[in-house]
Amino acid sequence: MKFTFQWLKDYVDFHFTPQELAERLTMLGLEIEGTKTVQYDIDGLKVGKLVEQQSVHTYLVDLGSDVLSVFYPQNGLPLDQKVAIGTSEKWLHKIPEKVRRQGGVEGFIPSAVELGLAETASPVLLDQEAILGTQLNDYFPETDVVFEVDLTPNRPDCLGIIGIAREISTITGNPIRPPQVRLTEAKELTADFIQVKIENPKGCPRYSARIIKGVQIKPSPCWLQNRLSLAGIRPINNVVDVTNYVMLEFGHPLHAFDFDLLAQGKIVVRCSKAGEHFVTLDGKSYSLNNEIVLICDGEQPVALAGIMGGMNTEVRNETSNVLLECAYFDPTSIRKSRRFLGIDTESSMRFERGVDPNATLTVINRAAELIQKTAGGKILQGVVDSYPQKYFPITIELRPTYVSKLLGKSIPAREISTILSRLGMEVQDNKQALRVTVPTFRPDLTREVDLIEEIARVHGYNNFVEKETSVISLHFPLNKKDKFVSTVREIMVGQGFKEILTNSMISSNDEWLSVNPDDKSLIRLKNPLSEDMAILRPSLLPGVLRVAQRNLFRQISDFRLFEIGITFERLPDQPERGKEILRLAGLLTGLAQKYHWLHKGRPVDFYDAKGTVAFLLHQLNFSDVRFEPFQNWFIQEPGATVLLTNLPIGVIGKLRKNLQEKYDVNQDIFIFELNLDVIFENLLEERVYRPIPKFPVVRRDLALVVDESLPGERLVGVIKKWGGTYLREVEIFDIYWGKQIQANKKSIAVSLQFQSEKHTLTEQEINEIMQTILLKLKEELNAELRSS
Amino acid sequence: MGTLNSEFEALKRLESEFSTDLSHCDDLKALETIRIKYLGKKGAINQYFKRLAEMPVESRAEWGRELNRLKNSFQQELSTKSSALKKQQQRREFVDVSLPGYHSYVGKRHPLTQILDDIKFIFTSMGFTIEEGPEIETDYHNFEALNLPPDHPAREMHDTFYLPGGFLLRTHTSPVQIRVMEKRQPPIRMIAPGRCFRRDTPDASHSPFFHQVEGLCVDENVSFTDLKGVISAFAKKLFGPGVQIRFRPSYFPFTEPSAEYDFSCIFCEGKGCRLCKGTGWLEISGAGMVDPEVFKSVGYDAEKYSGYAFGMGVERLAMLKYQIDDIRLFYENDIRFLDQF
Repeated sequence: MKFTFQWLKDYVDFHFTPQELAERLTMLGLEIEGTKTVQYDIDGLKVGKLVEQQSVHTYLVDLGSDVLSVFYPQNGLPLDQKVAIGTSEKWLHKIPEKVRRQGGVEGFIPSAVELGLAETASPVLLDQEAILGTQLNDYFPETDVVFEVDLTPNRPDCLGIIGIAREISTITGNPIRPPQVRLTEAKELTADFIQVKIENPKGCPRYSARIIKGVQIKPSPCWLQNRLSLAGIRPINNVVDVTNYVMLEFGHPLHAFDFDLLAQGKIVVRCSKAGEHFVTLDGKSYSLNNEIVLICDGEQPVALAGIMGGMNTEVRNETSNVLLECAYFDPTSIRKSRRFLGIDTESSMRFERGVDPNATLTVINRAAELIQKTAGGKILQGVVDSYPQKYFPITIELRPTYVSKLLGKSIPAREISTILSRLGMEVQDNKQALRVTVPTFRPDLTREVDLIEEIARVHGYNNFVEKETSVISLHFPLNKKDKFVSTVREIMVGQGFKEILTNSMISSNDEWLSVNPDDKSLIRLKNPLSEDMAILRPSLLPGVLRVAQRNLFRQISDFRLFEIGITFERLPDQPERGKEILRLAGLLTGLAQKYHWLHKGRPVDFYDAKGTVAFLLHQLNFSDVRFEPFQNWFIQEPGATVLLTNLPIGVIGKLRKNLQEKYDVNQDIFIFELNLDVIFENLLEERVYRPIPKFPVVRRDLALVVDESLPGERLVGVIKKWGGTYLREVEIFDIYWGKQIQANKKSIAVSLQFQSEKHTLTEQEINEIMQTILLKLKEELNAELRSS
Repeated sequence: MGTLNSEFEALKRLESEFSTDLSHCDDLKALETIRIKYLGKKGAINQYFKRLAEMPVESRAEWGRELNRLKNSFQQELSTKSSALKKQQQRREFVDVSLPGYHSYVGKRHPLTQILDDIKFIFTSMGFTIEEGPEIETDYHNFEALNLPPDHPAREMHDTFYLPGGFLLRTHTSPVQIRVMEKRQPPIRMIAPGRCFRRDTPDASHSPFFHQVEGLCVDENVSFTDLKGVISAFAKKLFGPGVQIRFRPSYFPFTEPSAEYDFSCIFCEGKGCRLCKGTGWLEISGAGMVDPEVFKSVGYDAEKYSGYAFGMGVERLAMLKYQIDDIRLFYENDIRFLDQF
């Protein structure tokens, strides 16, 4: 909401500069988002009355002591209107050369827009009370400051400037000065002309109406246009402008109807019917549901209650009788309707936050007074006020001891009383507790704790010292999963991988999904921002690949990436909620070692990727990690599943060529993805120290000829199985194919290390074990010792 | 055995063969092979010496002289070549210390992880536990239990992504508070770091997914001044001992009183600069005393217990710390960006 410095001063006295005011309001919880200083070039302009039109563009004006002929560049000004006149050289220069040469013209009527006072091109229109010949700056401040306040949704009272004045009053102690209304009513009774019937008291607990007859619709006086413009509301005509002005004062919206267009002199408030149509005053047509509160006349809807009036009854230039509405609509109902219709107005914004149901009479009288002042006419006697569901101020018990306990500082009861009284509450001291009566303009205050916040914020949040000590429980649990994830991250970083973070929502047109055969397990957002972020990622790999692609496109070609994050999967037994799985994904591409002129390096291959995963799992203390050949729709040869004993925990391998082409990348990419949840669940609790053996290691090498297709791991497995308790390690150190070996065979050279914790092993002991191993290798794998 | 002349011819050929071998040799290992070939025990010269006995006597002296000459000449040339090669090798082994060394790939934690690790360290050192919860949430845990019933106006501050079946992507990590309080009794002192989602169109300062740390402390006699103390301690530990904090009244349905908290500008030390828009303060996030309605939804006695809660945006803190002006850089993951942290 916007208001101005000078305008606020109408309702409360204060000595703050605009900067101080912004600071004080912000510290009260009314955050000032910005301020803008406006300045008007009005020095030397005087008040004059148009007495006679001399020609198309010249008028005789009365300046009190003098009558002048003045020039007005546009057409049509009403006589008797008071306007601002410029007589200095500066303004005379604006008169066309031809007219000036004829002589006799001594003044100029500037438009409000030229002066910066309003956005309309009309002259500066003044009230009839303005005194002829006086300076315009007696009526307008030459400078003002516009404040934009970002209100939290709990403060509807501050959606009117009087509410903001009340906040200032709580810190200065100066009382607020709401406008004093003195109505002159006609003899005719409002009730004789209009009947109000509320059929939906839940949606509309109160409806107050007044009638002003014989108004003259025209542009508003300049001061009114000026203030509306500064507050960001476009001036329309005097009657509509007054309803907006009073809304800005009290925070309570009003609506004006052309009374003569209301059928049967009736106002009926009812619920809409599904499928009903309505055209708002901006000419748009809406199809309604069955929950919208409608204001109707004797025949048809004339307004969407609290949101916008209808085109059929809007105030227009020909309007002479006005029905003024000031009502209280149910906030929830307005919010629902506003959302359904998609119409956000100054009015709906206020009603849905909750205006004061007991303020309608004050507000409608103020508006009637201002309409009469700017548009003339007579105010019919009395308000037709239908208030089927009354709201009363509530009373809350407030314990000063509880205030101290919650705030950590003792605030004297007298200060509490002062603060609450200045906020408009009635405070009675009742021994242990205060009895606080909360006015209905503060619907946000319903509990003791709400009052405590009021006390704290007016006392000043920054007048509470920061405690420097704290008592803590020593029995809090540690988060092992979080530590595990940190360890995984550390190991990956240690292996030269850069951590990335990518979007959890991927495109429904993602390259990854275009080849994914399993779209039944995908979870789709109901209201995605766009198709680019519509699917919850089933894997981290599409995100990792996108990042790799982006870097490759930027000519960065050698890197290793990883991401740790949640992936989503729809489960058959819980089709909606979806399962969240914590995963680790990695990617390697480019050179295996960083380029150096001396050792130019080689591209990464499967073993780089495998080494990374194997090292990670080894560091996590897993001993039985296996890799079995595997290919799927995104991994081609060489690829593998990763197993902990027989439990699959992930996949690793080369990105399929067709996917690589889809990503428009022309170098090999190796990827892996592991399920960290499963790995975490299978972590071995603790490591146990084993003494470092004192006895020597005996090493034996074997070169074995086996079938070409035999996986190396199986050979190692057989050796381990039959190697006995002394076998410490088995390592493949060479693999050979070629001339010296039979076709369809290969030679695998392994190194075996034996060691005892109790004695030095003898030749004989080792030979016996080696005999067994060779025998079993022959039996199980048909492996022959290679003859040299 | 051929004619004598042809024997002497063979020695000439040997000499030229040696020259050719030597000229093609460019390392010491090859030179040694040449030495063995010509001068070794079974080398060419020795083979010819063995023929001395088969020679006609009158030619023996000449044969021997010629062989000795060749032997000496070969030795001479080998030695010359050897020293030349040694010199060359020394030159090759010379290390130019100004040339670049070998680099391995350098791993890095993401800048957001780095900040998050700092935050976790600070809070765990103050006795807070680290708690987690699901990213897919129920309306109850994300909103209702936090005093945000359906149609509550503050729900509009949380533009939410919905999933089939009434589930949603959590808009903050506050539901983790609820899940922890449902399971445990006070005292509670926890932070909940994690990824959150809001339906904001991405721009320099908005991302539809982001990371938040939510803090909660519930015990007997926890007060607003405790909250200020913890926020102040955190500010000083993260940005330095000179950082001041400021609380401004605000509104959150799950806290009452509610506040926005600011840190004194870490760039100008509160004097006012471009980064704090001249105010001397940097807006950080929200905090407050746990609303009794929240206690009611988890079955805590609001008369007995009180508590505070606070939030913070990890991206916001990282952007401040590193003066990053576009949130999207975190998720683009350009390696030249990641390498800077």
